[in-house]
Amino acid sequence: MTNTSRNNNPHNSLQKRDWILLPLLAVAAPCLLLFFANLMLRPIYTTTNHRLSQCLNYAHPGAGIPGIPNCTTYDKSFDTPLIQYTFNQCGLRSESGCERSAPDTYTIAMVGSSVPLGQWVPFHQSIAAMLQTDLADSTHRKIAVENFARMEEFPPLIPKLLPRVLNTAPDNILLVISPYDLQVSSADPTEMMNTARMTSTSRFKFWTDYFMHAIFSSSPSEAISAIKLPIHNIEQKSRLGTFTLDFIDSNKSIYLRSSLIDNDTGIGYLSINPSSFWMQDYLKFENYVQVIAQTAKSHHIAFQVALVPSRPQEVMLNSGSWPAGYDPYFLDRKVQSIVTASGGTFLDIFPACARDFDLEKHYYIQNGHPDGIAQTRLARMISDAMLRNPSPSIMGKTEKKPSQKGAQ
Amino acid sequence: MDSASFTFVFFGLVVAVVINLQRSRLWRSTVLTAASLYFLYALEKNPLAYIPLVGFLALGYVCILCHRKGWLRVPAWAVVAVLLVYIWLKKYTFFPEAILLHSVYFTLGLSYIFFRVMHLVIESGDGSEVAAKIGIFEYLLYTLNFTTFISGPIQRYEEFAADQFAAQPIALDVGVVGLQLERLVRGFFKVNVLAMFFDIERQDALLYLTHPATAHQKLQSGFLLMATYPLFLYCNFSGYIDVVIALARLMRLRLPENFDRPFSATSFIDFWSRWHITLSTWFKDYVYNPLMLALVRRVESVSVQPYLAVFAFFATFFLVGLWHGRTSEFLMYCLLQGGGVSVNKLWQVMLTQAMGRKRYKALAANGLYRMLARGLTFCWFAFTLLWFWSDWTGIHSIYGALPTGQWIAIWAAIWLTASILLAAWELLRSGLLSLRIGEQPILTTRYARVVYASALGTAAVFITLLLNSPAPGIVYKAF
Repeated sequence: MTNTSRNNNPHNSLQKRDWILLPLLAVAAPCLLLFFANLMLRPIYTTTNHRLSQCLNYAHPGAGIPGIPNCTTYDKSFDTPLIQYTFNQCGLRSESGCERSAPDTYTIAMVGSSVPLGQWVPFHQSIAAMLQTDLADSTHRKIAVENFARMEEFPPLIPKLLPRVLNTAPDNILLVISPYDLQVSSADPTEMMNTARMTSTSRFKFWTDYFMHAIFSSSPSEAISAIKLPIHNIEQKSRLGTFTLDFIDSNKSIYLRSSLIDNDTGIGYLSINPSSFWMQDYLKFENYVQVIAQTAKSHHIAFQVALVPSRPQEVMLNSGSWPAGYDPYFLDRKVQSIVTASGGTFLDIFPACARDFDLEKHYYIQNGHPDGIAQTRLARMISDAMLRNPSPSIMGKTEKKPSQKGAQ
Repeated sequence: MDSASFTFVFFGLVVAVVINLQRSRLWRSTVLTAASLYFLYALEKNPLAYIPLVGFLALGYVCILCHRKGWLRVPAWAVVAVLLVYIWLKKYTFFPEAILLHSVYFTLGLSYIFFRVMHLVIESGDGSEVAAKIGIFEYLLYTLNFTTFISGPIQRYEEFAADQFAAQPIALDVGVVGLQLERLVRGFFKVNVLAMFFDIERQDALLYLTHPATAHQKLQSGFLLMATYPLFLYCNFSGYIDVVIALARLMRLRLPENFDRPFSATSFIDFWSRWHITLSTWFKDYVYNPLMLALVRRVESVSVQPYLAVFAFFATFFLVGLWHGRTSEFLMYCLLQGGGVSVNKLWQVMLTQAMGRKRYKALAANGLYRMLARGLTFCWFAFTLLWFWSDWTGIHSIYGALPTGQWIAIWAAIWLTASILLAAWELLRSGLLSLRIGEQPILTTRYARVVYASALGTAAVFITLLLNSPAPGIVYKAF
């Protein structure tokens, strides 16, 4: 016969002191555990007092966040190396000055947000630096990649930047985007900045919203989600959270499963049936691309677009399988059709990303950006794609129009 | 709700609190019935999907009634009918496709319901009064009890009735509550943290093994792939059982134990007395014992009788394996399970005959022998499990990833590593338990339990919330 559970322990009667001691132990044990775990991780996961934001000009959020001219700063998050950011006298992240490129140089003006800017990446490993090297090696000619990418330079802001880009008389405007850039295509930049600023400055408002949302949820599961999500976000930003995710998220399937739990705003671009929210984003993005393409065309400049996959996308790409209802290539095809229809050239790097078995391991845990190794590889893929779709002048000489590079 | 998730634990705790609001039998049974029905509703909201399950339960009860009224001249017909309907509902592949039900219906928990129903049908046929007198309400509560619905444990009716329908419920003092909360945390940690980590290792190993990688990486992956699955399965299943046993106890219901440190087993027969205990006990009661009895009655030769057990073991564990699935992979799994226990029995019989009982006992008690036997038991179980979690295509691609010689080396390494690590674990465990205050080991004092339960609980909640993703589902709910 089966044993019944051994639950009737003879040592069950509690002494008076136990009514105080046991709850104390129950509270102290986890507190000490968390404290010592964080203490041990402190030397491993370090940060700096410096921030990239110290070299950014937030004066006119609706017009983007340019770099402060001649500013140098450092930044380090728990899982990133210490990164130096140097902005030249034109406020661009570049190790060269503002001088004009030589007339025989093929100049690429790269626009976009944090990924092409090279956030969390040493300059020499960034797409801008590596693309210049790779293209120069392949074409045996002088190539200059002028990095006009800026923090939060999302598609709605790029058309405003074009006059400044055109001042450098580039041969090519290269837009490098990530799925996140598309997600904010229909957002109002000023509102976005203000919301971000308010969330970071008013904790009271954050917690009020949090509890109101949890209390007035329509179902228990929604309430549990509402309670869990901010705790999840706080944990994720802790040292212990980073350490744990470092281990757990190294597994592709676990990472993908946890990524796909995110809401439509976060992962809707992977869906084969995009929501109205994403359809609106695609429409807005199409408008901005058309503006850039028309401007480029009117100035006889090549216009090319490269889409950099997110980490969940990359996991799907190189594992070759994904859950029903999702498709990592969906966004790729969507952007391709938008860019091609507007007269630009789409640089499709997704097939190359699919062949790169461990590219997804080179994305940062906390912020999801590609690291230095990933940016180096992405630059090579973009370079290869550019050479497969060469603009008329990349292989030959061009005469530069006299202009002041980076002029405001 | 079909896993040891936050929601399930929360639901179980709420039910436990409500059940304890009153001590009357009627109240406890009413609350458990309502909770079990809500649990079913949470799993499947379409009432039509329940029709086959309701039909199966009705058949079981009709069989019991027939026994009670003496309407069946051959009691075995009831057993055959229940068995056939179960196999038909589970769509075993040897049934013609044309006679199977093609609509989508609810089968979750059916296997465990089958064991409970079959137990009642057999017992009522054998004249058991407790089973024969069961009322429809008791029958439904016993078969649909939400704590044992998904993956067992398989409880006997008389044990269930003794606690659930007792006029005076079993005691539930603060000490018992503390122990159950500790067990709840331990189970939650096993399912949501340990099992998940082993699953991560296994999936990574599978990926490296079947994708381009260095020879060293592939060897390492082969080792990890085979060695981690038994550990994953143990944490996944025993963790869930810990959770349901603890929840049930808080509802003043004692469920049978299903695990007893299975990897400490020093033989495959011993292993099956420690792993999924309620399943092997059920098969022992209703297959092995009757079969042995029938064989012994027919075979009078004393020299042959020890070998009858070899055959009976094979037949019993072949059926244990067959219960797990309906495909040819599971047929292989049955053969390996049946083969494992029967060869183990044959080894015992032959060694006893060759060495004499006393010397064989001395050998079996030898430390080195036990160490290697423990490792071999783990190794064999890990090997058989390949047909449990993979299919023929997967198995072919896994074994094709490395040459045969390297696989032999991997299995030898698993045997050796398991022998050493499990022996080290046994030593560590006995060493820690030898540290005592008075008569009680320090680690089992309430203070130590509170410390490690709160630490485990914090770690489990931290990791579960951080991942924001469910742990792998309970594997045994699929059967």
